[in-house]
Amino acid sequence: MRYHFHLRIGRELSPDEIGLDMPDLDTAYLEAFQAAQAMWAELLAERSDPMLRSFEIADSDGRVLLVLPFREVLERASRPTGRKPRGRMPNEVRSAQVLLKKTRMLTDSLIEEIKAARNMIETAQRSMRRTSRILPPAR
Amino acid sequence: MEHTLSALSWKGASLMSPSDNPAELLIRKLEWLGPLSARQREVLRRLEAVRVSVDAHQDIAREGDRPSSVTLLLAGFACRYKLVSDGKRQITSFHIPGDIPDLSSLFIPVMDHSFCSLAPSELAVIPHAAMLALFHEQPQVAHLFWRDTLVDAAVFCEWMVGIGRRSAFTRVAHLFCELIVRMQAVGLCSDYSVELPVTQTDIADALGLSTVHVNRTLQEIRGAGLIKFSRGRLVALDWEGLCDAGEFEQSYLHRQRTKTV
Repeated sequence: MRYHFHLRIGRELSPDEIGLDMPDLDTAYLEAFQAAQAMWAELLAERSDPMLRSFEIADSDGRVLLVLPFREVLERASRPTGRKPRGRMPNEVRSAQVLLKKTRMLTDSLIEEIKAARNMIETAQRSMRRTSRILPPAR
Repeated sequence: MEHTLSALSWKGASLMSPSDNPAELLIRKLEWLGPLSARQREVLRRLEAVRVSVDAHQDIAREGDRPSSVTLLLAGFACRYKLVSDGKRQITSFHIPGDIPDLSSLFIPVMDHSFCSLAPSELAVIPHAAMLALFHEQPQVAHLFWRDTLVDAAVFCEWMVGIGRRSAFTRVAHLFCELIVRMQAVGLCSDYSVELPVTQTDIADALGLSTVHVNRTLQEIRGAGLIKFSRGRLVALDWEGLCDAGEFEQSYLHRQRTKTV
């Protein structure tokens, strides 16, 4: 699925004409969050206000599916770690946290699968080498 | 005329005309770094090799492998990379036709990184023994390869400066300048336009950025009228402007010949 990450700066909208392929909207949100987080540092360094910005994640038909204000990065950072957040957390932040956990679990299981696949390949290569020692090379 | 670089190809198929001789690509690349004599060119043309085709996104050598040959990229696009413990990938270099990305395997027996194709690619696999014999017979050619590894090191150095100290905008612009100049050296660039079959994810993994950050940065560079980048083709619309944006100064690529793009 192709998602477009339009950038809103105050009243102006800088459209994303290229777009990015992502498996689902959750991933699109997480990627945008990561970008917003990194862009905070760059914006502060050039004395621009990140709080004025937000990503508007849209589909290829131009429908805005999700809005991510850059301030959400800060809201997440101000949460004391390991404790229940005080006050109401924005829904997006909460869903992001759940997604992050899910992603980590998926990544871990993927790493396990890759390991298993590598082992299988090695076993196959070993037996192929053994076979080629027995048989003359095919011409 | 017999071309050994193609004559040993799979099942004896040798369909290349002299201009398609893969050695010519290597010769062009080396001559970019310094002069070759007629005799040295001839020796390079007789280099033993096997031609192999690979699809996009195939590992050609993996971390931990012990290769017995090196790989000359004839067509396509490739990269070297390392995976970190949480599964993230860091691309450490991009490779274009004429490059031998795993040249270090000649002297470092165990691969300390992986090397994969990013687009469908054509490779010439050259046995280590053939490379070593070439170096022994033609030390001048070995010097050029040495110089080539120094250019590699200079490219790594620029990437390190970029990831450590440059903004996303400068990093992406610098990478585009680097690739355009390198492709120009092997005749793969005309009118500041190159085939660049990389995704935004590849660029993100190379420059240590998130994909959306790369996407946003591409819009900015486009918006500034510096490039056009679509369907795997990159065009520098304002070369001087792109070099300024990327703080790009090409002397680190050690070009011996001066040609305009």
